[in-house]
Amino acid sequence: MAAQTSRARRPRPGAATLFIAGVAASLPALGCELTEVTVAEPEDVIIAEAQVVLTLDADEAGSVSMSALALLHRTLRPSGSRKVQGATVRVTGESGQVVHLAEQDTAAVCLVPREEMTTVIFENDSTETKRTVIEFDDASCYTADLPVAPFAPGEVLSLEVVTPDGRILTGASRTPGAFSFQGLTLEGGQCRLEPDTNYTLNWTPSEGTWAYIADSRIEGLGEALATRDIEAPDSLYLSGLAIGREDTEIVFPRDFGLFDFGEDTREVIRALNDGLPEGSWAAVSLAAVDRNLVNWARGGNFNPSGLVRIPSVFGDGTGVFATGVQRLVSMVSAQDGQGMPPLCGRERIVINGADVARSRYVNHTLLNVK
Amino acid sequence: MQYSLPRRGGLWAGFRRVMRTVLLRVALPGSHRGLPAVLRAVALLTLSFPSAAAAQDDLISGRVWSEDGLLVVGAAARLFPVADSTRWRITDTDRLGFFFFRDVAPGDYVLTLSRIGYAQHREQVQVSAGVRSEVEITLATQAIALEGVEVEAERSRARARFVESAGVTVQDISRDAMKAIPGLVETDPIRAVEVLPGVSTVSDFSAAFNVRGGSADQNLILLDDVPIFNPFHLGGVFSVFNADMVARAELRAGGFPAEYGGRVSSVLTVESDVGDGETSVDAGVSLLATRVAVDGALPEGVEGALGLANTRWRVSGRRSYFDVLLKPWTEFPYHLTDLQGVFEAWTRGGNRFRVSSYTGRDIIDLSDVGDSPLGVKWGWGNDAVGVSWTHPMRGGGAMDVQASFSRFLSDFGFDDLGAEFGTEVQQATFRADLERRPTARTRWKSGAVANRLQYDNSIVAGGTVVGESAGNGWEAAAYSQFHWDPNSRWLVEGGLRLDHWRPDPGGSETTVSPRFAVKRFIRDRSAAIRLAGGRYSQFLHSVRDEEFPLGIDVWVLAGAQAPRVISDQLQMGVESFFGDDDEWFTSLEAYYRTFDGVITTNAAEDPNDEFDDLLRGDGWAYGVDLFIKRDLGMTTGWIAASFLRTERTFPDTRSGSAPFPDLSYPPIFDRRVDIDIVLRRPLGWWGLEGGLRANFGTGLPYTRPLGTFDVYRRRLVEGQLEYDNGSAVVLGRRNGARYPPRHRLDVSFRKPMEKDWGRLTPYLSVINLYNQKNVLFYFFDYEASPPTRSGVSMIPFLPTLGFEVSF
Repeated sequence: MAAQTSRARRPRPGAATLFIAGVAASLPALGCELTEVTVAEPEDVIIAEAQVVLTLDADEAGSVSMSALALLHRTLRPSGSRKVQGATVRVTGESGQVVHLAEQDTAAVCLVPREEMTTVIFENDSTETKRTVIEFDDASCYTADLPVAPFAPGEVLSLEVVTPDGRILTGASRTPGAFSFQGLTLEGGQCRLEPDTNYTLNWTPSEGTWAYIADSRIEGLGEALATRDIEAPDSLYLSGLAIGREDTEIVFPRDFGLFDFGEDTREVIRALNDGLPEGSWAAVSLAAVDRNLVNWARGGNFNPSGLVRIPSVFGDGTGVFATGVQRLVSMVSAQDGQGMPPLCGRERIVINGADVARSRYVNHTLLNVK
Repeated sequence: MQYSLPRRGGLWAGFRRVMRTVLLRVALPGSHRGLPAVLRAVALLTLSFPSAAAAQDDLISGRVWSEDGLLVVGAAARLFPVADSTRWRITDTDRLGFFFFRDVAPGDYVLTLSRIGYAQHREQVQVSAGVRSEVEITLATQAIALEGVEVEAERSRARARFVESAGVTVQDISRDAMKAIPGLVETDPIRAVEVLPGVSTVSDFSAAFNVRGGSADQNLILLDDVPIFNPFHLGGVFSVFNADMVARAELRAGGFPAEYGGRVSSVLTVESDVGDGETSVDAGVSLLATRVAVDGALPEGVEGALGLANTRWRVSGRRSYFDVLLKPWTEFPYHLTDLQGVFEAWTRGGNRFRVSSYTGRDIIDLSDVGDSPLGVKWGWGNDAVGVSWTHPMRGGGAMDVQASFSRFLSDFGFDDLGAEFGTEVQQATFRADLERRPTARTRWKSGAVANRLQYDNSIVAGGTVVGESAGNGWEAAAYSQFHWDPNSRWLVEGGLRLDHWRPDPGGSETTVSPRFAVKRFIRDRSAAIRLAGGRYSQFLHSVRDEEFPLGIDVWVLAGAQAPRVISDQLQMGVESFFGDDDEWFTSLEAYYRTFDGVITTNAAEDPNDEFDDLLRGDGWAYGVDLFIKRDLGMTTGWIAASFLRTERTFPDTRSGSAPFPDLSYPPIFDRRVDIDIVLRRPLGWWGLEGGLRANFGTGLPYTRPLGTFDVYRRRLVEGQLEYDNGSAVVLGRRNGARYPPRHRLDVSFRKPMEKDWGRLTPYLSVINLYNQKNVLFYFFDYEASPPTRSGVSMIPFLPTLGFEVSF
């Protein structure tokens, strides 16, 4: 006979708030729990999570592609579908260009499968942790992927969602301006890192952006870290963040993973502080994002019942209409050799306030002198 | 120039016209153009008023000394005709041993002086028409405490304040009274003030308090005149003040005269007990900590060599002990320490030199505890030191010079993540004050203050400075205030304060703050009607999220990031002594306040704009406070009942409109009705002393969620969303719902036992005797079937034990 408990897959630290919230969470254990009472059904509110991402050509050829998605769902209820089917979702640019997002058969098109960690406790107190993948489908997904974007970086876009029962949700966003990597050498969107070496990505500021989100999906870690007795998943998704238009530098992979730090990833992220291990490779996205996304992600005042989001979708519902401009890079950690892409390249290092050009990759320890 | 005048009519409109007239005639606030005119006005008040206010002197005044040359503070002076001892008048000696009686008809009188530790002094005094009588009295030391002397001292203090003060609303609590109030774990001087009228709290878990619709950061908390920025342990649960070191706590809830600046809502003065110079020890153990306080004096030889008549000192230490106690079994991750000291030296001429200091730390270290995934380390604390010199003047005045330094710092970090949140604020102050009593009916006081403030807050995570703000500022202030008794029926006070604030970053601002108060005595000076008003300013704010009932203050200065706070206030009321031997005192006071320049965090701040982290707003509050107190008899105590309405208006960042429209709402501390009953009585069973506190308060506002929804994060590499393991809320009207009313009964029992070696006092304190589940906050679970509301209550039934020893 085994008892089962579920736990969060990834605890997300929120500085002092996390600790204080922990204290508050411990109050029920002190006899401070209130009697549970039944309350009225929640209001049925439509939530629109919409985004338009313009992807700039990695080789600076000037082409721009676009992917747009809108996940429509409803406030949580004990029963009933949370899908919002049959809606018209369209994005209109300042130029008058209109893109309609098509409804998909399943929400899985918009969503990464959920992973849940389940801890099984056996009678002899031994435990076993299982990872379960759940395909979530209780939402409606609308997408549009265009190889040539009808919109340009810096353009103001409007979102309109009209549901079959006549509810209308609207939002607007100015897409951030274009930006370019500096000192990064790519071939077909790829470059090479020396093993166990951090690399500092630099880029030009994007006009109007509020933050840069750096995402990476790192592959091959399981095998690459096995020699160090570190258990790692084959694929690990880590995020980094640079805040403000002028914060145009991030160290990969050292500065990634702040929001992904958990019991199951702690050792791996620590290992990545010294760089990518040989044999692993990563897809890295750097996106300049708009105010709407930043506001939605960081939240507002404390509320004990859940996170408070600052919306950018209004009308007969709430939600976010976010826009971003991104560049994608693939990096492989390997010694130089035949068939390898070029070193990620020259980069700018600032030492005592002076720019120093460096032809080779830079070990992160050198950068500490900044 | 930015200040807003209130928007209400009626009485306020009249006050506003007066204020505007004064301001326009004297100077325009915020403008350098007005400066010379303002200085002229201050000088005018300082120099010309006393002579203009000269009046008849029918006065007996005196100064009281101890045998060893110490000025005796707080002695009860009682005066009555030789022929009729029932027609007594009472007052107390001030901080320089000075007392006086005015409007004394010619005749023969008996004057008595009494104070704990001294033998009662009694002498006959003859008063002749138009002659000012001055006496110098020396009290003989007497170790045995006289029955009722302390009560007498408290009553004389209250009576003197009633007769002497026109405007300020002030209540004080002595250490004995504090100890009689049932306390959370141990006696807490700051928690004690929450039972006073006009004071409300939002959480049992925080000793932070709100006064008359002001936010918690608008209370100036002074330890021996040195500001303490964050006087709390354990996220606000306990104050840093060790009750054994405290003589009294005094709360000025409004109408404070021009000498007070820096905060707009209240001034809480915690006065150290410097002891009597005899070596003694007070110690105690509670469920929180162990503490000890020792006092004494310098050896006579040292005093003589230094040319001093008398010295006294008292030091205390306090430390929580669970980490030490549990060490053999586990690493308890928290401890606190406090060290406090005060030293006082008196010269033979009556000059007083005083040094007061405090340092305290809280340490939480979770890095070595169990399987904690995050190595949290958090340390915070205050350091404060103040030095003052007081020179008594003939006729009862004094000159004070003070220098002080205070700082608060906190460092919260996750070692594993390289994430760190640091905050520091500090203030250095130099001030000089001169008080004179040129005639029997006039008193004036002027002074100048220079403050240097500095703050630095930063959040660093993953190599990125997520947030940072820092700045400093100079405040130069000058004030002058007068006190005038034109006759036995009226008392008039007025004053002007000038604050010049020069922040970096930010532009300089000058605030002119007129203050006035009028009191009309009735019923043979046992009752009075009074009116007071004024402008108050404040140049720093706390950015703590007030929605969250725990936490520490994080300070910022007015300047480029935040506005100054300007508060215009008007209050009027009646107060009276009544009953046999004036055993009862009651006051009823109504007030109206505006707050311009209050702040809240801007949840939609633009990271590209370093000056938009905070939103500027305004607010108002009005209310009525009733206070009924009994000082004599077996059962003493008081009833404090407060009615309050307050509102704040800020730009609504959640509206989606640009610019943000204004949103008005009651702040989280808008408790409409708050009633406290505090009683103290010897129980007659085994020598027990009983204390009781009953509280009722209407519910506080909160923002009710209308629904919750899943939240997602973006995976840009994959162009998809990822479920983010949590839910967000769709919120209803801001603070549009209210928690149920709260009520609670606390009791305490103390059993003083005299022993050969001293006194042992075990005590039992029971918080929330009938285990009322007052709401701290609700959780709404809309995913449950059916949807439910659960939550967390305030402190449940909580008995605590402890004991104190004195020898």
